[in-house]
Amino acid sequence: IPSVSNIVPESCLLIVVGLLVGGLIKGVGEKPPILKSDIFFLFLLPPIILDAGYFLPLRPFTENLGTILIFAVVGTLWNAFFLGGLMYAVCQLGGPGLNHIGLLANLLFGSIISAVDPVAVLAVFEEIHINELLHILVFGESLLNDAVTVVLYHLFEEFANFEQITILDIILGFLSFFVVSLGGVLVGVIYGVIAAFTSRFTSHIRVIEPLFVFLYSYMAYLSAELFHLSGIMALIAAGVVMRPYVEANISHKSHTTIKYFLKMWSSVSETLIFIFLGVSTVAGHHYWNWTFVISTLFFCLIARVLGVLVLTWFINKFRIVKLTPKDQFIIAYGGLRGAIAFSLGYLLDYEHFSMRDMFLTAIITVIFFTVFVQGMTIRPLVDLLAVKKKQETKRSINEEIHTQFLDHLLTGIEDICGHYGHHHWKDKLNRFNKKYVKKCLIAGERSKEPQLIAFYHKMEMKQAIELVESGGIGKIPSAVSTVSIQNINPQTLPLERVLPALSKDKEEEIRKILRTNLQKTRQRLRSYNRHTLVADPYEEAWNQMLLRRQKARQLEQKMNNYLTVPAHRVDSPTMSRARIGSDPLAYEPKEDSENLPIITIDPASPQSPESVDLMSEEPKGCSGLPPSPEEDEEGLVMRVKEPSSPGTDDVFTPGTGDSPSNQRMLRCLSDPGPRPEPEEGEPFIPKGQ
Amino acid sequence: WGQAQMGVPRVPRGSASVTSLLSLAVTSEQIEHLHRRFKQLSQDQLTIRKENFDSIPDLEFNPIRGKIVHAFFDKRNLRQESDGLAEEINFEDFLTIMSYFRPIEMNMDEEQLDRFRKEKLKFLFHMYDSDHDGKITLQEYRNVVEELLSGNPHLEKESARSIADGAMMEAASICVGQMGPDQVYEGITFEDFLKMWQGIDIETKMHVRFLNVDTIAHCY
Repeated sequence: IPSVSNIVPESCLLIVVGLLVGGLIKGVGEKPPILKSDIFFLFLLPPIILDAGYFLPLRPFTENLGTILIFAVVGTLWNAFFLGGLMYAVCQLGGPGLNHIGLLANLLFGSIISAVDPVAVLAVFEEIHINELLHILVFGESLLNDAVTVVLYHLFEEFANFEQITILDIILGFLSFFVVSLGGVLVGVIYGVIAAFTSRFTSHIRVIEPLFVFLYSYMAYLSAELFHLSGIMALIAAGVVMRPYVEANISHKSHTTIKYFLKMWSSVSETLIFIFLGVSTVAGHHYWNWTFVISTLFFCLIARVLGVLVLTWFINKFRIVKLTPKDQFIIAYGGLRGAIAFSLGYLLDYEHFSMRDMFLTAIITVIFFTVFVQGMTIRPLVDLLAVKKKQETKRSINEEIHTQFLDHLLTGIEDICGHYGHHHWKDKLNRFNKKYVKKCLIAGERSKEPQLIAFYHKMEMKQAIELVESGGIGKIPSAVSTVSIQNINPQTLPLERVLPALSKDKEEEIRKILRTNLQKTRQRLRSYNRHTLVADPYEEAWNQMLLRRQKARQLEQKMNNYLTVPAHRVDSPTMSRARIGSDPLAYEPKEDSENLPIITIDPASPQSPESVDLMSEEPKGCSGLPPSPEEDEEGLVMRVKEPSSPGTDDVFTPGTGDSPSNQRMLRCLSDPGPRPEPEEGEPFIPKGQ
Repeated sequence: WGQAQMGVPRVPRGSASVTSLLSLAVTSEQIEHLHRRFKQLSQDQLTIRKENFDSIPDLEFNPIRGKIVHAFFDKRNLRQESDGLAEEINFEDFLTIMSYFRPIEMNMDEEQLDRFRKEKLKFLFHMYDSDHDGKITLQEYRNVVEELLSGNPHLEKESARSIADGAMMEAASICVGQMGPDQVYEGITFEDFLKMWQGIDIETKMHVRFLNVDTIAHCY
């Protein structure tokens, strides 16, 4: 039995709720509030657009930019003029009630109603999960047509006051389109760069990082609106520009904060917009004129269909992946109108436009029709036409490697052909970005980090977090693969780590022990988190760990260190607890030459606990470890303590002077879990070479 | 355009094979243009050698430059029966390589599409598999990642290694699934390679726009 939410999209339900609320208020005798335009444009719209712009999937967007621009600009112009012209004809023929509406008023009306609305499109398309291409085409069009709408609206509004309109005015109007759109983008880019630059210096005050993102984006929007430039395009440009640099600079928690705040705000805004639409319908003064409204509706649909057909025929000449008739149908059908049209209509003043009420009624009717009828039927139609749906793919490291390889390959082929195509310019932009821009806008080490490494670290981080979050519960993920480094690289090269054979049972036992111990220490983990708000030791420790690992490897190559442990201690649980590396396998002693330093851990000894320092200069309690003078950082410290009582639960009792974050890190990574992580091949503590 | 009259290939030797190969894909305009480019690269000789590719300035910045040039001379890509590397290639071979990058056409049926896709993936596979043994071993994969990251001189080999190892493990788990600790995964064979590329539409991505039939030819 299909539930209501499967049939009716959320936007429709919200409008109905609005209608009910409005009706209720009116029934009580109060005057229901109407969606005022400045509240809409200043407070309700920006979060939605910022959310869309910040998380815009950039690759499909830029690949289809030409198509999107043609639909947005030419399509909207066509809609506006076609509709305006036809409505003028209708008005002339429509009898005394409509005769007085001039051409300009009709054109203005056409320009208001012709723009596809991003809020409505988002609300409906989110739920139907069509493939990425169609989604980005319709959605991109709805975002970029704002410039056209702004220009046309202001143009016709101004012209309505003029006595005469000269050719010069029209040309200026045409030019103003470029100013509005490019100016908006420029404002957005400037603010985006400033935001990225600011985020470079926030490493000490992580808490306010999200604030900068929101603040600068909003300022971009306001600045653009101030000068009658396209605020939506400014917002999108700011989000797109600042994102890669800000993401490289901010902490993981800030990233999560930004994501959830944006989603929350845009959700709230969307809900409010639709409810207000419903309330405004009840509250507003309406003037219903059958001819006008019905013909508006009819011509809107016709204009959209014709526009899409003609434009697609033109665009397909230049596209590699042609748009099929099915795609065209979805694009045409997805042209929903929404609250922007209503607010623009509301902004008209009575003096110049006496027929404002009639316009508003028609606008609301069109909005209702598109949202209800088209919104509700698009999902069964998508299923009926078997339109390709979105594929849920997980980004994998393989895909990333292949995609980059392919990019470079195609760039190379283009260079060989002597053809300056799409890939060539993209490559040039990337190089410029890497050479100059990243150095300015990204803090510290990460400015030099290539994309592949950044992606890899992100995945490692994600897996580590998942491990910590699920590690204590003892459930094994179902799609487990037991592939480990041994499966792909079984040869024992002298430079590689020695991989002795440990039977599966012992492995399993060790893992179980580690897992249960991790579970018991979960409480400790949580209590740490509650108090650390400002500093983020978990993440700091992670970054530092990565850095240290690098340096440790360097040191390792110099010193040829390795860890030897007497083999017969493998089974003792104490020993297994002491092992920090993600590899639970035991190590067999190698034949050593006299100049190879040996670090022995002897936890079972009844003496006081020895502290074993790997990679540290102070060889306290360590025999035969040559000091390394050039290394001046603390290094990884592993302390092995003999548990005083048999009932000790802790995996590691924190040593004195050891940072709690390090301990936590060590705890977290000690359980390799049954899933192979990419880092399994490269253990936490570098093993001997 | 007037200059193009000179040196336009009347009917290059073995033209039957060329035209059958590229029958639907490349127009004579584009063959002309590519011929011009070929002459420019070869400095009016009949064949190109590896050194001729050094004259392309933009190719310097490409991290996988070596592999790309190598691919032009790889006999497996040139559809010759033998193995190994050719010393020099003529215009026909040049066109053969270029034909791997032709775009998809609307009127292809399922089988043609599949063959099309396999061809392109085979080209890529040969680029990864440098020792021509039919599978991509861990060392070769590491080599690929190292080359990709070669534009960053301050990076150590370890990072490239660990990425390649992780990717290889992932590939093994996709292709073989569960593996016991004693099994060894030799390398990525072509079938495994096909599996890995399932999610990516190679037929739409791997093309050079220039070879689109309707594109306006560039003059320089």
